[in-house]
Amino acid sequence: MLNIQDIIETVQMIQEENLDIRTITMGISLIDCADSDVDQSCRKVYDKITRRAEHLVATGETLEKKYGIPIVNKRISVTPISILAGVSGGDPVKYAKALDRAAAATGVNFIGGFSALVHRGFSAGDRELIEAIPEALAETEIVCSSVNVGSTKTGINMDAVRLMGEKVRKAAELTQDRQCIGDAKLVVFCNAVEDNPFMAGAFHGIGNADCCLSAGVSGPGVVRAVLADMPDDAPLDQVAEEIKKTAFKITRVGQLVGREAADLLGVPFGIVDLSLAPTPAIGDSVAHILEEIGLEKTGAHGTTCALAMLNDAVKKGGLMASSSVGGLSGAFIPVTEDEGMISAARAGTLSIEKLEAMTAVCSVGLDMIVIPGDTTAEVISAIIADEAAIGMINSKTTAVRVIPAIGLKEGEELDFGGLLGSGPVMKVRPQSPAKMIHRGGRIPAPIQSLKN
Amino acid sequence: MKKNEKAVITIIGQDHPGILAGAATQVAEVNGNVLSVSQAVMEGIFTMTMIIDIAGMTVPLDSLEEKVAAAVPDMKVKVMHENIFNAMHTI
Repeated sequence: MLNIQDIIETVQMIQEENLDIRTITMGISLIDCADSDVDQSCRKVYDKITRRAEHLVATGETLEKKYGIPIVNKRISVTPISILAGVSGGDPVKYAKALDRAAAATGVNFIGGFSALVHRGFSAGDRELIEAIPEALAETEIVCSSVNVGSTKTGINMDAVRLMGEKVRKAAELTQDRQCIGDAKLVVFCNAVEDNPFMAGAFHGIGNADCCLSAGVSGPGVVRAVLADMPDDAPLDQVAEEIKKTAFKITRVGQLVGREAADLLGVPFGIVDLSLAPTPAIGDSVAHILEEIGLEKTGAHGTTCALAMLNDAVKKGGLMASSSVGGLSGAFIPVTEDEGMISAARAGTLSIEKLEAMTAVCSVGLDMIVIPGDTTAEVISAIIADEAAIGMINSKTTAVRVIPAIGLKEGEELDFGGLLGSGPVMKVRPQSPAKMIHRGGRIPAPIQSLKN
Repeated sequence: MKKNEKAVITIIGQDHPGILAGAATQVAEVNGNVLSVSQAVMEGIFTMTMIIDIAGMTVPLDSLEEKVAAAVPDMKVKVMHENIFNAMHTI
């Protein structure tokens, strides 16, 4: 039996505290589209995506109306395109354009999977795809790209790390007249997961079924509001308990909507990703949760500890709420997409070094960070290497999505608009890591890899 | 809509005469059936939740929300399927 307090609480979460379903993402395998002719392969890719996802957007809209909760994004993830490029040869940019057209035809917000998995080495199609990333991102609108350069099991492919530093820089240069937007759609991973519904890092891993539907929930505003109602001297174990309960409720909504969307579309349900994903909207910030826990400003000493507790409590609450948890599941800390992070970065309390420490205890990595336009490819590679090392040693996913703002210097601002937000150019260390980066080769798998 | 499906209407705002009547009229017009109503007025703020049977309803939930909102202007109106509340608040 429903009671009035519960009803009002739910309505308040949606109306006042920005609770939403961040995304429903349809994963589509393209393995059966591989063809030795690249143009034929692209045609099959277009046909399969538009057939499978034909009703995705309409289904999302139906559920938005039924439950009165916004589903902010409808997205598609596909098999890493390097696999198809390896079969067909030819210019991988053609695939990116086919994905872009198919995504536009279905009406989704983003499509992810212009990707390569090269954590141990390059196979056919991988190098070609990586070389094509800057051009693919410059010539498409909603295609997202990711490359996995390392894992706990394999170590880090430092040749790929070097290459990706160059590609990140190049992608910024090719899109410098559009706020360097190319790099907002490019993620470099260590320990990438096969079922992530969030962009820009979503791809449909080869271990998945032919087609499935996953959901990503959000709701930092809800967690902050719950903490704001607690007394200032409540001990941290009680704070963690409240976060857990709130995460449970949020995740239940994701599970409900995701499963029903899958049923309506006639595909298996994939996973719920429990992540707390901020937006630039007022009151939808992960940084403000940390500040509500008791920090004057995010980035202050204590930030890493508060984030570790938050991340863990979110998982514990969410785990019981869903029959199938997956993806990245934790707290996201994308700087330009989080009002509180932007403010802390502007104030100088939040530095890249602090963000790096935070990535050791939360779900992803250095995300949506604007760096000076004159940052060299080697420095970007070194940033990627540092993050990959944290992921490799801690057996967790880490990622780098940095945007070298061509023409801008430290302290100036880059504004993407929309969900991607805006942010100040942050300081990076200019000292050169070039010698190490140009050594190339591989960082051997760590001792943690020997679990069998 | 299927048999036994229910939705919840919530109305929150400044209290004034005719809110409940206005909402109930709209529900009746689209063949919804009111099952229960609870309301409270605290410090002049009106809060009402109305549970309705939507099995025979002639319009989707978002259309009903628009109709009720038009009938009680200046109030925050939300119409949601009951499953979302059950999912969130029961284990």
